[in-house]
Amino acid sequence: MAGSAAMPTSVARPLKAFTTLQPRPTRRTRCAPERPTALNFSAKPHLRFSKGASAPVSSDGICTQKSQLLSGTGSLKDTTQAREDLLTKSDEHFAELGLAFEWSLAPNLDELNDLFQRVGFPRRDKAKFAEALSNTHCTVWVRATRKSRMAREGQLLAFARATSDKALTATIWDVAVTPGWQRIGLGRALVERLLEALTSQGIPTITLYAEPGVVGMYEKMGFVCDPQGVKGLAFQQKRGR
Amino acid sequence: MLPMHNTARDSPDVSYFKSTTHLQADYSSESLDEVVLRKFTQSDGTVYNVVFRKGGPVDLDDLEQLCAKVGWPPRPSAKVRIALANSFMVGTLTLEAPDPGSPAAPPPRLVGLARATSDGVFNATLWDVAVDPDLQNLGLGKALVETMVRALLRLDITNVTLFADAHTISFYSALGFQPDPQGIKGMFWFVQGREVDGGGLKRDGTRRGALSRQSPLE
Repeated sequence: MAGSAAMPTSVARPLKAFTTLQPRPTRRTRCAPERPTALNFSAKPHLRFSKGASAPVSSDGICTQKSQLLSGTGSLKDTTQAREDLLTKSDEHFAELGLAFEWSLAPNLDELNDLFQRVGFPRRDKAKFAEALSNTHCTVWVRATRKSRMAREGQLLAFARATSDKALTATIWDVAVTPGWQRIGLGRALVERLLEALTSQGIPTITLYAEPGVVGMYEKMGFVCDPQGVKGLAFQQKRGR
Repeated sequence: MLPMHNTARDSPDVSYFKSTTHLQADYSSESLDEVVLRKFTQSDGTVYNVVFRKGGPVDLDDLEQLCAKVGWPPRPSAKVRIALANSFMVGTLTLEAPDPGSPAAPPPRLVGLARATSDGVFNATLWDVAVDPDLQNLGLGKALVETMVRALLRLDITNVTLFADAHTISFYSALGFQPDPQGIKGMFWFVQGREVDGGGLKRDGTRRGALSRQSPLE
């Protein structure tokens, strides 16, 4: 069928194809695996999906009905096409600049604190930092692959992480790019890679809290402020407590 | 939109509560794992407690019923299970007899839920705050959120955040939450080109379901 390569996934084919057609098969493994939990569930038989009027879902919760796919979005995109669209600049582009993205190796905490300090974030207690990172679902950072005027070889230049319940929600925190390496798309590249990893796991709600100066950057990436008035709030402790 | 009230009552019958006693929640106790928030007395004299529990078992069927009662679109059960298992803190409100272990006691009823995701150290975000419409406007949502926040602060997690529908912002403000503190904006990203089941917001900001995911308290 002419043009079928550009057609969206049809209703007849199960949308599980979304999870198997991975251009970069390691994305799913870049986030922390399941850890044992303390919560237990009652012995009652677990619910099967309530069908009701909702669209049929595959076992990983991806909606398979075409009308659901189209509602409210406007453009039809092949799912793999949509995911490749997520990265505006490729790994190869950054490799030529002497930059590599790292997922599995934990960044050096002293370097991470130095980076935070340079971008105006508070330095963190190392033990607490280590614990926070071990409870973080996805961590991605940028390493200099060669020595230059602006970096030692192996130096940590940028960082971002995301917490998640691994199924329904995720929040991106601590996006930092060292001055001197800003304005070449590294912040955006980090967040896009987090988004790609999170969406490959079928997490539908991805959020972050943006300082006023970077709201525009995130809007360009597809983040929306206050959709239908839904606002981000933070608990402010009363003085003296 | 107001939440739909359940016309098919199941035990206990909350429509006949004659009096309620507001207990001062005992925040002095070492742990906030279990707190009796309210006592209700039915017209026939039966007493029920509303108990907050942190880290207790959550029945997925009961939770799905509660979410449906507050008007949320259904979410895949498998995802809800994983999300609960990977939430840093899950708080439930149950309506139960004073001694739920006794064989004569009616089964406890899940009437509220709130959960928090967190890195366990710096930041936490509250999700899925729900109170059964039959027991709204009794201060239970306030107590639920307050207890969760206190528990998080006790663990030195000082940045407690959440996303609130426009009509619930005043509710959270009264509890100490500030919208856009220092101009920091909460933002949502929408999966490009398709909708992922389990999500509440569509790309253009319109909502798939009837009510807020945060707090159906009106």
